[in-house]
Amino acid sequence: MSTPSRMTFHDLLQRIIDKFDANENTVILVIASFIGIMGGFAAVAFFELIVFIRTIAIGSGSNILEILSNLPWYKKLVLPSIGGLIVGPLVYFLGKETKGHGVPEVMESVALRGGRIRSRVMFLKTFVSAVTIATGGSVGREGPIVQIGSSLGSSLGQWLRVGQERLKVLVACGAAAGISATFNAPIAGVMFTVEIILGNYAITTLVPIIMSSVLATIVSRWYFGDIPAFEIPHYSMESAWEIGPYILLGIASGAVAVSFIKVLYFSEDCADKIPIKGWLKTPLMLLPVGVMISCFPQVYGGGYETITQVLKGETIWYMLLLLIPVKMLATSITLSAGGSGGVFAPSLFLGAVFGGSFGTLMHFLFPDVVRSSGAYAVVGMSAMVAGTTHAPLTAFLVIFEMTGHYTLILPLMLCSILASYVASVIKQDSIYTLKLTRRGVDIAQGMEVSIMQTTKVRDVMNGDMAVLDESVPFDDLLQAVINSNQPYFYVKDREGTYQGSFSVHDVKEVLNEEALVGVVVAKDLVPTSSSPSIEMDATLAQCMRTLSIYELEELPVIDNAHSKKLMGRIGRRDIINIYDREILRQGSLGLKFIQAKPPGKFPEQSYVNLPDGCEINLIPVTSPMQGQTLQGLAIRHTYGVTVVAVNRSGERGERKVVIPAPEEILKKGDMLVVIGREDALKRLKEDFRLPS
Amino acid sequence: MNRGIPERLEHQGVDVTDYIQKDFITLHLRSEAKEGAIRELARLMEGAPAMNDLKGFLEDVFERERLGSTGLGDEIALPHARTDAVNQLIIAIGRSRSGVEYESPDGKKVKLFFLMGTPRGSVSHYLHILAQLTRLLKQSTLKEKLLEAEDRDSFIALFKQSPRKG
Repeated sequence: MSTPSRMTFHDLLQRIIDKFDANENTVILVIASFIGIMGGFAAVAFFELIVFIRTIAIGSGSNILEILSNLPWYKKLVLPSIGGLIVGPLVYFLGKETKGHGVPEVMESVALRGGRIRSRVMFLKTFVSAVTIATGGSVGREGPIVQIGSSLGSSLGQWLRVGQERLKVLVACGAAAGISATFNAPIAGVMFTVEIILGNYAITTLVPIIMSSVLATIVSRWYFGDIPAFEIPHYSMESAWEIGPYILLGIASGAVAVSFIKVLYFSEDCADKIPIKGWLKTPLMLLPVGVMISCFPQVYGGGYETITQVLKGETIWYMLLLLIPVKMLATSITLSAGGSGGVFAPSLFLGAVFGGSFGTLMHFLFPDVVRSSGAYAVVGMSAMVAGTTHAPLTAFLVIFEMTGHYTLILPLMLCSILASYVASVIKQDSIYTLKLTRRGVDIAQGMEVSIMQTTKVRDVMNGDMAVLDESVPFDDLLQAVINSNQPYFYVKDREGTYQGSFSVHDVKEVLNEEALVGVVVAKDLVPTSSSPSIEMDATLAQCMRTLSIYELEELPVIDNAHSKKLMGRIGRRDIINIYDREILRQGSLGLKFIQAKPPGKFPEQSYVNLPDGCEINLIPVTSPMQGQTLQGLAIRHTYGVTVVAVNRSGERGERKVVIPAPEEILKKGDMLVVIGREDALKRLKEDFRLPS
Repeated sequence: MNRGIPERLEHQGVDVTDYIQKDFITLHLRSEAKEGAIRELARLMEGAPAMNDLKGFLEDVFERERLGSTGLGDEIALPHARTDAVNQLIIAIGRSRSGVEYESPDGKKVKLFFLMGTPRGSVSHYLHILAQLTRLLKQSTLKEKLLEAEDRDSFIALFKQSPRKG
């Protein structure tokens, strides 16, 4: 049996670390440097791939607007849809997480999955984003490059088996490298990562991220040359009185940013309702984008040429105004259609055209104070990015670095914080977090709240409850109360519909009241109008809220609000227990076991923590294993992997689980439930020719 | 030990006889069927300040009846509902000379009806009221006197004179 090369590499690495007595931070710094260089090259490659595809699509040339003006209208019309014909099937069949703008997915993997990202995402994302952008999809490069870089960092970290906290840092290094190299903006790259992806400013985290950022930028400058992303005239704040217009610009940009977020998500909701199946939706929905490009070629792709024109003050005011809604729509439709690309460049674009039109208006009103609209376009970009991303530091730093001018730093800072503040007051979520919030993931509150929002009541509820039929007479009811150890009694009607509940306290004073026998039935003890209950599919967070509103200790669980069938009960205690258990589980791999019970009883759940690095897998019995016994295969002896159960087909094709004896003969179609260290499992799979 | 009204509730001063009013008494029920008798009694409550929704109240009373007869036996029935249709305890009393078939446990026809509505709220309070009323009615002397009372005033007086606890 050949030893996988990875083991040798590990041994080597370990030996180096031991020899130089390097601590873990040093090792991470070295890995971060490597990720930085790789990330830099990835950004270069991504850029060249877009240029390559664009050359095939519309021809070569450095100025896209010029190329487009020579293109017949019908070609512009169908171009995005042709891209959609390639992107649609790829995303639909290979990886849904490559759809959309990328950054939320990275945030989620850091917040919930300890930084684990599938490496397949990296290649797929690179290609579909490049096609989307090159064929005119109105989106930018930064979202994809963040996902590409993060996936690079994550893959490398997983390969080197670093711990979860370190893995997150490596993901952040990858993201920072991507941003830094793409925008030639190393400071903004670092800021973007800590402000948006990690939300953590710890110095030990910053060091590797900065290292990665620096090296990525060096790679990018070596390839492209050190030229600012936007070459603009020298603007500065002309008079102190300009603070007035800038304050207005900051506030207004915040409001426009919120409307952009709303249009984007509204458009995604509409797209979900369009009854076109599968991958065909993408090319069809990209047709309107084609129409927009035919009329306004400025919205093609990321739109950097147009931004540069606007920043120089070369665009006429009514065109600026028109471009605001057109760009919002073009970006929103591209993304809801299933295209892949970032919303950062569209935010820059919107900011530039909005700032430009605002500046033109201010120049018209106060020609003595406001000399040119160009400066307002520059500041508008920063304000718009701050408004959409709620990341003001990243926003002004990225514009400062992209323009290379320090003279506008004061309005940049001012407008960024104002726009970010105004936007977060109007709408709590940023363009990135909204996508996650809609899925019940709360990044700001961290993991703890996520448990409450992603765990369903059905997973926690208790089936052991005292249920009485509504017509149970008083003497039987008292007997049930006396014999039960439950504090609450739930009353249902003949159909099983929940009617209400009463507690022991409600009846304890009349326990000896013989006069009531024959007068009172269970239904008399519950309110006639609806009593509080919770649906099985509600989240624990919703359940906790209902418990608090009604000041209850326990709630009955119903199947749904319509039929109100009584399914179980859930108490504050149950929720707190699961919460504690999930919190304890963090940092180690845990297993949830569901213990089957006889029909009618509810399954019981328990948790077992596996040792760090261990996994549980389900593997099929392959031909080398068939006819052998577990003893004969000596899986535990050879690999250190334990077979805990065999999942086997019964006579009528039903699956059953067998706890295997050592002499159990394995049959074709059996599945083995195995526990072992990740590397041991991999070796086992390789030796038995199983897909890993 | 006094097994009657629990001490805590007695302090609340709840006395079911305070709720017996002349307007809500009829000594000559005409209906000979259960449902008709209940409807006839409920009509007395029409327009009473305590009554929010007479129709809803009747629905709840019949729904409760469906779950099990409220005939106490010994010619007495206590149809009742705990319902949002009333905002205060309300009792209507009816007497039938010939008696009404009521599915009582002893099979006897019912001659004395106590139709009662209590608002939602504390279950123990509700149970206490019901218990108080049934205890009163189970005194056989009171029942005999009620069946023979000449008019509504003497009917009420019989309640007021009867011992509360026992």
